[in-house]
Amino acid sequence: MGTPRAGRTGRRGAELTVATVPTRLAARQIAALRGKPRASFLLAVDDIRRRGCAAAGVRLTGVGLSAVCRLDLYGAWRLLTVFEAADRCVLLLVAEHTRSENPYRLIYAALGISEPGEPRTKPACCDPEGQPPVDPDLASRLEEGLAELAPPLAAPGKARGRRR
Amino acid sequence: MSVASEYEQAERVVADVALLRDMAAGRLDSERVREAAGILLEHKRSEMPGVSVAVAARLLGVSRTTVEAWRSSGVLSPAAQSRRRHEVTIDSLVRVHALVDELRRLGRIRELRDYIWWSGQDAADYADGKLAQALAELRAGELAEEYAPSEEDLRWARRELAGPAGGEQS
Repeated sequence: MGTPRAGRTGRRGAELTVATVPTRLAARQIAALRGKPRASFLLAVDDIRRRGCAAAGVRLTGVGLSAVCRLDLYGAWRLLTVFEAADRCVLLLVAEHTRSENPYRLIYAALGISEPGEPRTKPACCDPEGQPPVDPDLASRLEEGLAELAPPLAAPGKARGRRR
Repeated sequence: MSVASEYEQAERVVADVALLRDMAAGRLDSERVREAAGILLEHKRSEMPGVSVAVAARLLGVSRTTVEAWRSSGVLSPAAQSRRRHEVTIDSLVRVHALVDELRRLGRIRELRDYIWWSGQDAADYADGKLAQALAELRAGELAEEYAPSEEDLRWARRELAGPAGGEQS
C-alpha cells in the first residue's frame, strides 16, 4: 500500500527522487483505485519519482492546460500531473478518460478546414514551453473566432501566459 | 402619405443627398465623412434588413443546416419583423462573413488548425470540472501528503500487470 511520506525528496543513489504530492481530489481517487489500474498507477508514480517529467507523458493543449501533463495508465486510465519544480510533481487527477466530441468538428466541416490526422503529436511533458509551434496571435484569433461560432464551448479564461 | 410626412421625408433625403454629394466631391473632413458613411449604412440596412437562411448559406459558403444552427445559437441574429420565418440580419451576416473568411484563411495553416483542434479536444475532454477542481486545489495549496509507493506496492503491481492471474489489492 502506498503511504504518505514526508521529507523523501532528494537524490537516491544516482537517481532523482521527485516528490509526488496528490491534490485532495487525487488522494481520494488513488484510495479508490483497484486491480490493474492501481498497479499501473503505482509503477507510474515510482517512475516519475525516479525520472521526473521524462516519465510523465505529454502535455495537454490549450488555454490553461498546457502546463498539465498526461500519462496513459492501464486501459483508459490517465494520470494528470503538474510539475511545480523539477523535483516536485503534483498528482492532479487519476481517472478514466472518456473522449468527448470535438466542439470544433462541425465548424471545421462547415468551413472546409481539414481535421488533423492521427496519431496525435504532442509536446513531451518536459518541453519547457508547452506552447503551440505557431504565431500566438494567429492562434488566439483562430481560437477566439471558432469559440464565437461554437458558443457552448466557453473559452475558460482568455488570458494566457504565452511565453514565446 | 400625408403632405406633412412627405415634406419631412423629402427634407431628410435632400439633406442626406447633399451630404453624400459633398463626400463624393471630397469636400468633407473626417468627422463629416463618418456622418455620411452612417447615412449610407442606414440606407443599406433599410434597403435589405435581412436575408433568408438559403441566401446566407450561399454567401457564407456553408450549408443551410449550419446557418440554422448559428441562427439558433445566436451567432447569426434572426431578423425582426421579417417577411419570412427564417431570416438573419444583414449586420450579423456581415460580421460572421468576415469571421468565416479569416477562419478559412487561418485554417489553411496546418500547424495552427491542428493546435486549435487539439486544444478544443482537450478542453472538451476535461470539461467535467474535475480538472478545474484539482487545479483550484493546487492553487489554494490544498494538497494531501506526499505519496510514494512502497517496495511491497511495486512488487504487487508488477505481479498484477504480469498476467491475468494477478490478484486484487484493496
